Amino acid sequence: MSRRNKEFPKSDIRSAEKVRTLNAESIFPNTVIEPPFQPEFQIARLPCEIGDADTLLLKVQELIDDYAGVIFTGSPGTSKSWYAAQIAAKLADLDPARVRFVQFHASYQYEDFIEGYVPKRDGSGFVLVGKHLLEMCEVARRYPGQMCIIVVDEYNTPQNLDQTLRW
Amino acid sequence: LAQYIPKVNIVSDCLEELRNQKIHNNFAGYLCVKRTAFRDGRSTGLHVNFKEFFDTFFRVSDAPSDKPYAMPFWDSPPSDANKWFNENVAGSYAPSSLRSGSPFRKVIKVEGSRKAADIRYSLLNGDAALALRYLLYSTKIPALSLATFLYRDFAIETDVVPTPQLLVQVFQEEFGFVDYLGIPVDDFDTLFSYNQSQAERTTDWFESL
Repeated sequence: MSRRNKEFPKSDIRSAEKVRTLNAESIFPNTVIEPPFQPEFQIARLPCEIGDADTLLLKVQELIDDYAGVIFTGSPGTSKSWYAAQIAAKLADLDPARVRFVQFHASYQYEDFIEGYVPKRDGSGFVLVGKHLLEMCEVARRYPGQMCIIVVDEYNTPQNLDQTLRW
Repeated sequence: LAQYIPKVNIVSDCLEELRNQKIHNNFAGYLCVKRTAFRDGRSTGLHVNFKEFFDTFFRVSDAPSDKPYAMPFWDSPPSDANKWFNENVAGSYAPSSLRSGSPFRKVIKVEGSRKAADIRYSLLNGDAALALRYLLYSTKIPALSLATFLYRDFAIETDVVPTPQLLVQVFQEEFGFVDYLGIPVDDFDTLFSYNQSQAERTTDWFESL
């Protein structure tokens, strides 16, 4: 037996196996377990809790005309992601079609964000398809003069951030 | 030998007590690493099977399908939003998921790549004191409540009327918190609050099978 599968020490005074499995209601009395979320329709409007006079919204509106992008920095847990989503919704007039929320992670790369080859459905090979950035470029083309936004959460986590964003 | 299990309402109360204490949820991972270190007889270069650990001690039937584990450790007040832990526990403790400077990394060194077989965990020197500081926010965790929760579905096998002290004994023996004479090691006293004499006097903790 490999070390990985080696048995853990067991006290002599407990049973080798579980003799029951308490359920959720037993350990969390009065808990109602919701079934997995199954969206039946596309939401018509993005939820938004900030007002038109929100200070951060006004700052982003001021910056975005000049820079096209804004980076939120700050300590963990200070609502950067929440604010980014809220402001994106506001800037896109609550239109879900014009906002894309993407969360980077350590292994995120060019093929996930810009374009990459994917298998054809019939198994006959691969085809190059656009990912989030190119998809939103297409959205922007269909909404001339209106703001389209990609919110990138965990922006600095990809190991090859430079390559992920190179276009 | 007769078999005894903790009463359901006792388990629920113990869980609630744990949930009301500010504890980083990576404390579960720390316990997993400690148990592995005890089994392997070393504290560095450990290959840790988080899924086996969570399946053994945290899985609850009828839980949400994507979050099958009841999680007693949270650093936010109890609510419906912080009862369950996601299924991908191995992913949660993968190097890429653990930020540098995270509380877990202040207690445990994590090495390796994305390939699971290459990932190794090492307890840092003075890990119990570090865990107390960074994962328990300098407040000891009640050993009896923890042991009751962890061993809620296992039976205590004994010929005498059981007391909850036995649950703590099981926990100590299986996680390496006692020496070969059965005396608690320093790490136990560092991490846990426990009134043994009171536990030995309590007789309404169990029901027989």
